[in-house]
Amino acid sequence: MRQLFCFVLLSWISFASLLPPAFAAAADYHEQLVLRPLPLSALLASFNFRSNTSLSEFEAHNFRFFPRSLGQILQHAGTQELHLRFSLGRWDSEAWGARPWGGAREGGTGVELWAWLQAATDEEADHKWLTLTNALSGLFCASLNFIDGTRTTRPVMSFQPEGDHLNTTAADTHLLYGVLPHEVVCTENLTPFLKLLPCKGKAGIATLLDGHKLFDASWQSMAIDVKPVCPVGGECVLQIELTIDMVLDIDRSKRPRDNPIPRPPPGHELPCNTSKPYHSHDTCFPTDHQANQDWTLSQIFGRTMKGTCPLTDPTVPPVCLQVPDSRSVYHSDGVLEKKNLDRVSRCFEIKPDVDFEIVLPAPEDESAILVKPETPLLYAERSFTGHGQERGGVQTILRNPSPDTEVEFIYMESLPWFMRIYLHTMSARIQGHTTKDKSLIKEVYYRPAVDRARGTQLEVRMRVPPASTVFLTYDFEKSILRYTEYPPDANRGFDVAAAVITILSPAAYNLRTTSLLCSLPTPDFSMPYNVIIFTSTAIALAFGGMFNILVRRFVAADEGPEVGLAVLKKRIKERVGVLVQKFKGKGQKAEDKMVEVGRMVENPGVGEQT
Amino acid sequence: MPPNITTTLNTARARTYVFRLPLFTRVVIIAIVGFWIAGLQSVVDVREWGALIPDEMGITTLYRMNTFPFIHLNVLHAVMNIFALTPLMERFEGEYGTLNCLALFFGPLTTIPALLYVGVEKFVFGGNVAVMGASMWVFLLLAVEAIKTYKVNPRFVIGTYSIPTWTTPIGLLFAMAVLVPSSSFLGHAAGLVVGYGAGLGYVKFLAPPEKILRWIEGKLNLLGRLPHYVSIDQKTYGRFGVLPSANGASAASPGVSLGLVGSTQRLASALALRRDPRILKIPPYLSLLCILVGAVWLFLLPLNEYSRRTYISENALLPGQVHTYFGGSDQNVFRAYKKEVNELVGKGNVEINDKLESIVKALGLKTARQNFTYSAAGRTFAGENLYAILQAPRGDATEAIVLVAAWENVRHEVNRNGVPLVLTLARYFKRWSLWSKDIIILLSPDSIAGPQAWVDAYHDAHDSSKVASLPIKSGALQGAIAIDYVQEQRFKSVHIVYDGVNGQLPNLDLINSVVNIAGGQMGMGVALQEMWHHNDKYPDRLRTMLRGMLKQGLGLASGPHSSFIPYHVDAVTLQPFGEGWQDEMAMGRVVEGTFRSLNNLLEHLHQSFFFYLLMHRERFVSIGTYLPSAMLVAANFTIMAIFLWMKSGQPDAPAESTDKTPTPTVERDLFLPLAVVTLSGSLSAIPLYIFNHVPESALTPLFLLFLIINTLLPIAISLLSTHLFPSSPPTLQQYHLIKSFSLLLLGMFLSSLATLNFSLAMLIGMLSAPLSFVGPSSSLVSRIAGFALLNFTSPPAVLLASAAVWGLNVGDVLREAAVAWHVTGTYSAVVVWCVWWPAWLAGCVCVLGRTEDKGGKVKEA
Amino acid sequence: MNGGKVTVGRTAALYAGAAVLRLAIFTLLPDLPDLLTGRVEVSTPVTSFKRLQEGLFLYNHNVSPYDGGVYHQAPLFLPLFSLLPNALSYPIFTYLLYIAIDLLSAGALWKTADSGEAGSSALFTSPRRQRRWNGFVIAAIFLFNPFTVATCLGRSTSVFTTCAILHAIAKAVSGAPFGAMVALAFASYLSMYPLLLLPPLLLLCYDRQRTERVKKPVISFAATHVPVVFGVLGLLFGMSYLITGSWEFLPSTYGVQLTLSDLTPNVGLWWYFFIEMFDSFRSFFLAVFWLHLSCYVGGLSVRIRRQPLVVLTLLLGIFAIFKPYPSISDTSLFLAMVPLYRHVFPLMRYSFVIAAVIMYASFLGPAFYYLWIYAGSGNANFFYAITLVWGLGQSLLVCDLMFAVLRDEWELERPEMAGKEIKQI
Repeated sequence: MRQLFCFVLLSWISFASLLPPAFAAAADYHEQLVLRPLPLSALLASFNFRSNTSLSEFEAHNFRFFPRSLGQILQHAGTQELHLRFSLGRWDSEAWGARPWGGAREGGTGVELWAWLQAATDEEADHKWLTLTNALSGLFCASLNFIDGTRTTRPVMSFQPEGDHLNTTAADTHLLYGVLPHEVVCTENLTPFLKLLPCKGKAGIATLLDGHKLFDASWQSMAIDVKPVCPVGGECVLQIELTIDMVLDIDRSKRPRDNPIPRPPPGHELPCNTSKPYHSHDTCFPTDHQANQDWTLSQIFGRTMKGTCPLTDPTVPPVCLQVPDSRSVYHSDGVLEKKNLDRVSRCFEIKPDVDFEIVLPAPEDESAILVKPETPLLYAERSFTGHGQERGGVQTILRNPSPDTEVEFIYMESLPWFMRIYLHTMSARIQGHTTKDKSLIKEVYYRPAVDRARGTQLEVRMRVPPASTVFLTYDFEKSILRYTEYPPDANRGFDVAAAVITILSPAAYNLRTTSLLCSLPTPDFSMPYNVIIFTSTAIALAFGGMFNILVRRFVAADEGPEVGLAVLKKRIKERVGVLVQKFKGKGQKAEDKMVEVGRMVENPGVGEQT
Repeated sequence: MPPNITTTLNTARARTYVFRLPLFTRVVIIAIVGFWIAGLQSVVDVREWGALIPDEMGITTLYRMNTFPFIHLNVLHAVMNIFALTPLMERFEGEYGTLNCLALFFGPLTTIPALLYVGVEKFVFGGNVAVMGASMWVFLLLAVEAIKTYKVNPRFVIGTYSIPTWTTPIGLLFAMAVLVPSSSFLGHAAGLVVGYGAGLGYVKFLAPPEKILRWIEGKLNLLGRLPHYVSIDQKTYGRFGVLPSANGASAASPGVSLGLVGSTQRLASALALRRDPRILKIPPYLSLLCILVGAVWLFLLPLNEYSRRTYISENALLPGQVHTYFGGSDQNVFRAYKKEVNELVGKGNVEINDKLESIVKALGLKTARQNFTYSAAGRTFAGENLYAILQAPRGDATEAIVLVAAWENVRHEVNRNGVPLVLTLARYFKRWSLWSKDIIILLSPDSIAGPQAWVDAYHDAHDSSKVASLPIKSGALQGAIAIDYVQEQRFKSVHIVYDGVNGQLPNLDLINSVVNIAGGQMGMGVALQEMWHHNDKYPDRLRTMLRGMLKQGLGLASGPHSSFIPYHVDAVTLQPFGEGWQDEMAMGRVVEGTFRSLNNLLEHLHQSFFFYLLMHRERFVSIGTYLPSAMLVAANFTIMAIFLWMKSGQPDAPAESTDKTPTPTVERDLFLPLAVVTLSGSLSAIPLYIFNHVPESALTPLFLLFLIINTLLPIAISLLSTHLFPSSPPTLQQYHLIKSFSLLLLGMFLSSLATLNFSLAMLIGMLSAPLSFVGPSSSLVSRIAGFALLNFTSPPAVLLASAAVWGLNVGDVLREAAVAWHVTGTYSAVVVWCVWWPAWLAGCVCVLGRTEDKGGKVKEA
Repeated sequence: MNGGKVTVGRTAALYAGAAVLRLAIFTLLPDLPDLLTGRVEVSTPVTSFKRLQEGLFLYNHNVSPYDGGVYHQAPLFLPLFSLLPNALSYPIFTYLLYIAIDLLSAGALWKTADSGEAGSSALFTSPRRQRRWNGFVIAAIFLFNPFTVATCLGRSTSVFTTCAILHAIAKAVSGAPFGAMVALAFASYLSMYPLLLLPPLLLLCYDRQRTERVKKPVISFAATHVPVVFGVLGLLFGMSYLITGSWEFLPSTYGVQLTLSDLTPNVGLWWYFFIEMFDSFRSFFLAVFWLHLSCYVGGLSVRIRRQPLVVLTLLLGIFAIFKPYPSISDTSLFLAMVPLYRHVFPLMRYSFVIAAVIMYASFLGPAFYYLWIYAGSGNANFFYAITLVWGLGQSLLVCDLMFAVLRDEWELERPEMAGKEIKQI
């Protein structure tokens, strides 16, 4: 019976088919760590913590294993279902195969949040959304409060509620989706995360979660999912599931903490291909990409696991390892190892108070190092085309590896408003064909951006035929912003959130593309005063010129009052005269002074005729 | 009678002018020259002796007040002042007579400014700056002239704002103070003040009484004895009363010019200004001055006063701040990879890529390939790029840095050390977890076409019929380093190649960081522009700068990095050279250090300069300092164009000038000029197309053929234009207009080009400078002479000459140009054929223009 | 050179030549039109053809084009262009439409020129009026002006406005005030600012009324004709409402011009000013700029009352400089009207300087824009400086033309001053 149970559980873990509610209702809290070695000396570790509380108790503010801090927020914001993701790095699907949980427990780089809120109107929903984001940003030390109107969309096709909501409240439930691609996930987000756990970080698999290791991982994703689950006949429970997936680089993790610098190893330690003719003590063709399949838990996580969490459901083995049964694995005593029927995974049952440690020695035969990763249903790669800061294009390459089955999925982009996309340029073509293929795109939901108010939301339901590659492309224009709207590092560019791909058939599977960096044209930030002055001057020149011509009247050059130096001269003359008058009482001298001044004034005349 | 406006300064006119210089002016010039020669010897410091030094002033040293104008700092100073002084002084003397000049210039006009200066400098500012040079006189005389002009036409109008003409010297004063270093603002100002005084006649009373002068003159019979002596009496008849002069009558005295101006119905005072014969005589000299100053300017740049020390302005780079660990057992790996690479030498491109790809894949990088095929000058350049992406751990494919190693460098030597070094570095970089940007390794078969194809495809700017798209991509490229490491023995220093296609340059910060890391941290030398030895002195700096400008002007790709720069990706190529003790690992550490710096970047490089001329690894001039020289050269064409336009509007015979047409200017017949200019413009498409599309073998013969046609074409056109309308052969005015339009276009294109490719604009400007001075003339000799001159400076001739100078074959040069045009999109050819050549053609047509009928009028007018 | 005798043959030849030239470029250089469509000098946010296509696409797919930040053009374009076959698959029809529009404008211009209104209006007859070009030359100058050709190739929708304005003027000089008003209403509907031309146009109509009609005072004339404009405008708005089904096209079409929410660079003076403007002063300066733009109407109409056509011309010039979203098509409209004043050219003082400045600007502009946007080696100030120069060059032209015209009027009072030097006090 238990074997069977384990098998079911494991199959659920590795294939992400949702758990039958019956089991969910049974256990109030359990946690599990699954370790899966991956090619190129990588190791996938996925932690999963799940706890339930019945809705009635929840309403009565009686949170048992449900974290109170989060619960109150949810109640206050009228949230029915919540999904929060912190992700970093990229999943290398060529090498590592399909994503854990079928991609259901991960987000794009940065922070992603979507939730079903209960509200009568859109305005109320927005208001509650605002409350929710602000509260969560406080709780998780992330700048979720920057998810404003321009970063929020209301997806139509991409997301479906995972929980089963009673009494069809679809009318007054609103789905809102916000994403912060530029948010850098780091240790300060992990600490509040651990605080949500019943055993905090003190016991159980959570003791392996160490900030340094977690954020040195090649790819890592922290997920929080809150949803109501109603077993048939049973009472509805509110279920919170916390998931942490990380891909660790084994040889990087095995480096001692005190000396992390990858200095070149001494020559004799270098793994060489000795078959090369030129191989000698100082010439070595390296073969190290094969190595590093031997590791221990403490090497990887820097510590051993401290027993199990007493609150956890004892029926669920806390640690499972996915390597072929043929590979020998040593573990510390007081631990019961169980091989599963699928012959590629084994679980360990641990006594509450023993330190748990496993050791994988270097494998004997190359073949049995690790489980062959299953190929994903779809490969997606998104990149910008074109150059310059005026306009550009987005090109998504979607490859369907399977030889026979066609893949149908929904491709969703939520773009910032300053990327003005031209939907009429969107086209999908199969590689090899130059002309675009109408039949690939089945349905498009498009909500254009409004400047400074709303981002673009684009959802495309499309298909990729078997064993073919589809190019989905569209053009956009980069708009120039007001200089106050640029961030301090304006020339870095603006992050564009990952595209979300939700596969409908043949199986439920999610994936995200990488995020992009869009560089906008920048004004000169040191110039506001100069620009205002220059432009105003130009306008003043034009206006003044016309005004002059309009209002002043024409006269011949010789008519009208004299201007310029003549006036000046006259003024000087008077000035001098007055001065002299008041200076010398004697009229006689004053007079000939005047005469002299007079002559001085005449003189130019002389100069002229000479 | 209308003034005669001499358009072209032909040598004969210049000679007579020199011979007509009056006595005192000559004396002054000779004195200045003499003092300069005297200053050459170092026994007695003439400058010390003669300069006007406030603190030195005393009873015994009063002579300084008269000597300082004759003494100059250096030859440049002296020459400039002589140029400026001569015409003014000559006019002045012509009006006041030699004796007066003598009296005034050894009396008040020199001493008063001197006293003014000393007084102010010493007692107001309390400074003690020595001044010397005749520029004080220049300003003084300018002020006098300005006042005179002011009396004739009080103001000239810009827009709707009329500016009194007497203010112009003040403007000049400030301009000088700003532009010319170490020019004494105070000294000039003093001269200016006294000048205004003199102009308004306030210092008249200081002039010696005429009676006495007349008496002296009479007694000594100076007029008889001294050659070029200007009598005092003559001034009453106006200047040049008795001087032998060809254009005597023409150079109208103010009085006459007034009458003239009045008669030719001026519209506004501005027009009056245009009418003013003196104004109309200036432009040719002005534009000549522009060219001279532009050229001189260029040669001043390497001096310390003008160039600046380089500095890192992007703080995030922190070059040389990190410790580099590349080395140790990596050397073993390097040797292995080198063995592998050596085995591949001489194999086919695909074979090489297969091997290299297997190695790179083994490192755990994602690899991909790209095919490209260019065809130019009857050849095809095909190949296959291999590139790999090292994904930044924890990074998201938003930014990337590129590390390039071409299998062959530009000289087609196999990059024996570069390729293995890049492989080893890739393996080394893979171990680090600190990369915030992806690292792309690009291994291209050649140095020009391969990288070009790759970058084009990366930015989707490629022609997909020639170049395949890239299967995998990363984020925005932030920078690129290319390694061209051919030499086998250990090297001494690194040579940085930084010229991009079409003369675009990478951000100066990148070069600075490499210099900083290689030179400062690694302690190896750094060289630029193939200056293997550089003592930071003037000649070497100049040579470096000129080499840089030449490369920039040609606009060819100089290495794998060149193709990146047009896409705003800053890139350089590093070439180890010289005999030293640095090994491959040192080179690797330089690259590592640079990559760490680039990795630190938060924003795309935008801080430092993109327009600069490097003259030493730590010296440069920025655009603000060097652009004026090119702009001046371009401006000279515009000046001439405007001037010719005005002239073409001049009534060129007395009859027309007095008739009662309400128009101030005669009608301009624009049809023929526009036709000729358009024709020459449209013809230019032919050579451009031919030289870019014929196969290599045909290039040389075609070129020679073109050379001949090129010489005959102008003759044909001018004959055609004369014989097409025998009734009305092209008039002088039309020739002026042709020249005016073509020069206007040339100036316009060059000044726009100067902002895109400074050096090219400068080169073309200098080479086509003669165009603004040769023009139609009546004498056959001058026509032939001008035509010959133009033919020596014609585009093909210059091409031929330069090819000969560098010992190249014309065919190769043309092939390179064609390849550059097709592969890297170098537009130098367009500039040469579609900007320079049409202007040259129009110029030739003008030169060949025969204008007996009108010309005669001009002569006697 | 005043054209000589104009035969039907020459007319046809001219139009055919212009059409063939455009068609040739369209067909021989298929990339050029799209290149020009992308140039900021040619197409602005309120006239861009690419944005029109986007709006059209959304309209045809039942997404309101005005519920977004891309499409800011008049609603009636949507049904008009959705009648044409898709511009991407069958571009030829679009080309033909634009060419036809250009020819229509030329025709209107021709009428205006031949009416001789420029030389001798009802209240003023220039002593120089013999020296004029006939319609043929003026139409040719318009049709072969590079700016006009570029605008046509760029398929900017401002050509429709140009056409409407020219027709309004043509109707006015040919004494059909009603037609003029309707045409003006269309122009204002397409791009708002032509409404400012109403006063001078009214005066022009008033002066050119058929003589047999009894002359009513201007006021009553205006009272009868202004309602026409607003009636037609109201009608158009009503149709637009029916087409789009909501009034949201008003803020998104005219509101954008009023508030300059889209700061895409163009050849005008507004964009960089309002990029760098402090938020607290933005609305104030918007008001000031609009006030400045409209303040010319009254002044010119009063001062040059005797030649309303001059006022129209000068206003067009001023709009080409100070509009929120100017482009070279506005300049081409102004340059199309200027040759009507051939007779005062001799009185202009800076013709060559103006030509040089405008040519310099039109060469340096693209170069600097390239340096800023693509090469990244220059910054925004490069292009901004050139827009300043461009604006100044044009304003110099406007000033000079104004001066010449006024001087021409003045010499009628004092014939003896012809050709003398004068000054203004």
